[in-house]
Amino acid sequence: MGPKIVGSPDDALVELLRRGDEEAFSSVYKQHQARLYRFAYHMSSSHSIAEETIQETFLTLIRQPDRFDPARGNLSAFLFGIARNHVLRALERDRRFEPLDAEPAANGANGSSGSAAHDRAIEGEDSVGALAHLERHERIESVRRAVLSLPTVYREVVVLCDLEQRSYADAAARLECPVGTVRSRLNRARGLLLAKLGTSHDTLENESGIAAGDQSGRWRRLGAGGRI
Amino acid sequence: MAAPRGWGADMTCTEFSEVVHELLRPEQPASESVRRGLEHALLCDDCAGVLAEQRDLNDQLDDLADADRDLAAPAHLELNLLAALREQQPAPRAAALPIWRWVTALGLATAAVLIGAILLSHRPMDGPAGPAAQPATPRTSSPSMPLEASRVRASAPDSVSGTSDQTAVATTAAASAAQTSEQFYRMPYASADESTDGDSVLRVELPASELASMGLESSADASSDDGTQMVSADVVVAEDGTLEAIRLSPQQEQDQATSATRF
Repeated sequence: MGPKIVGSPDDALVELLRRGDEEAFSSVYKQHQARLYRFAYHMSSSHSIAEETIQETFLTLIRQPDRFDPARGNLSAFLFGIARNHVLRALERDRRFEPLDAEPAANGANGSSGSAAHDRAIEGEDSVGALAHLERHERIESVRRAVLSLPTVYREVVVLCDLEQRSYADAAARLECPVGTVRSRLNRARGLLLAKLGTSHDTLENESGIAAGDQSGRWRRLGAGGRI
Repeated sequence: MAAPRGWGADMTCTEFSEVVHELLRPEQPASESVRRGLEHALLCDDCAGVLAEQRDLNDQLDDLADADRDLAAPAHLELNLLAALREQQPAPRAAALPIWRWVTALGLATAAVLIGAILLSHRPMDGPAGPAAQPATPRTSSPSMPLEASRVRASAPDSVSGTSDQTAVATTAAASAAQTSEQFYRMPYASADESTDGDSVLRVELPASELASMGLESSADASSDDGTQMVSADVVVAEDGTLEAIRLSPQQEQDQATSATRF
């Protein structure tokens, strides 16, 4: 029987991982990888960046387990911090990243939606069902593009609070900012989203300001070019 | 348009727009601001429209979240990371063997070497051919040895009488070389039994002066000041360890013959 490890479950897992315990690593990996992957993908719309993020995040955990300090937060928050930093660096590195030219949203091997699934639906269903599926797919991709077009600070709160359904407090802890900041950013972000999706109420559109109007206009121009 | 105060909804449209996204979140359904916001939406058509848009946006975001719910890192990533975890660990140290094991192994190795050496030195004459056994004379030649040895020993002084010691030695060596290089010289004390069963032939190196004690002489013995020059000889050893016969090795005899010619 192995040595007894005291402390929180995170402490125990990290201690086992430090000793090279593969089961402990697999446990941590399986518990956190999907959420981190989705966050990275929603932030970048790039499977390659998401994979890179997962790899770098867990490599950091493997190589520098001592960086995890239970006093500063749980293991989930620690991993998220690494992943977030990596995503932001990747986005900064790829300054010319253009959301509308991003790889097709669910063409990756992991996507549950996308053109392949889409085509299967069209082949396997009647035309009415296929049309409904197509419309839904288009709507989803429109939302995805709208999220991607948000400035990073707004995109983060939408991804965390709306797509990942995290509470404001949780999001604030992960983003290391006050809850009030999360609220205000989310309010602003949703206004921008509505504007970009073309369904914004006039009042909200006015409150969103010039920047939202500019980006909305840019979105529509790109859409007229056939990208939407 | 701001909702009139006093209608159970103490909130302006601007205030409503600031909290509208919270109205639909499940985490605080019963908070005071949510209750007031919902009441305001009931009284204000514009804000009711805004709330509907937020619901619609929520639905669209939920659809996106549902579409990506199964997103996960590809399986090969975990394998790569597990490999990195293995590489990260220091290689396991070889288990240290107890000292007594090293001592035992050393003793066994030494014993094996000694046994091998003994077996090689007692190899039978007609055993498998090996480097050390090459010069050995077949046992079938042994029966012819005794008379030859005594004859050479006996005849040598006669043939060289009146000559110097060196010449006598050279003559003796030449005579022995001339007779045959395959003949052994029986020791005077050797048993009369001519049976060679159990005898062994060994190649040895011994001081040339020892040859004289066996009734033989060599040029090496004569040419060396102190008689310590080593010569190579084949000896027949009886089963009980007694030296039965001796001969100079063919190479040694050839050298002697050369030496004799020089004289």
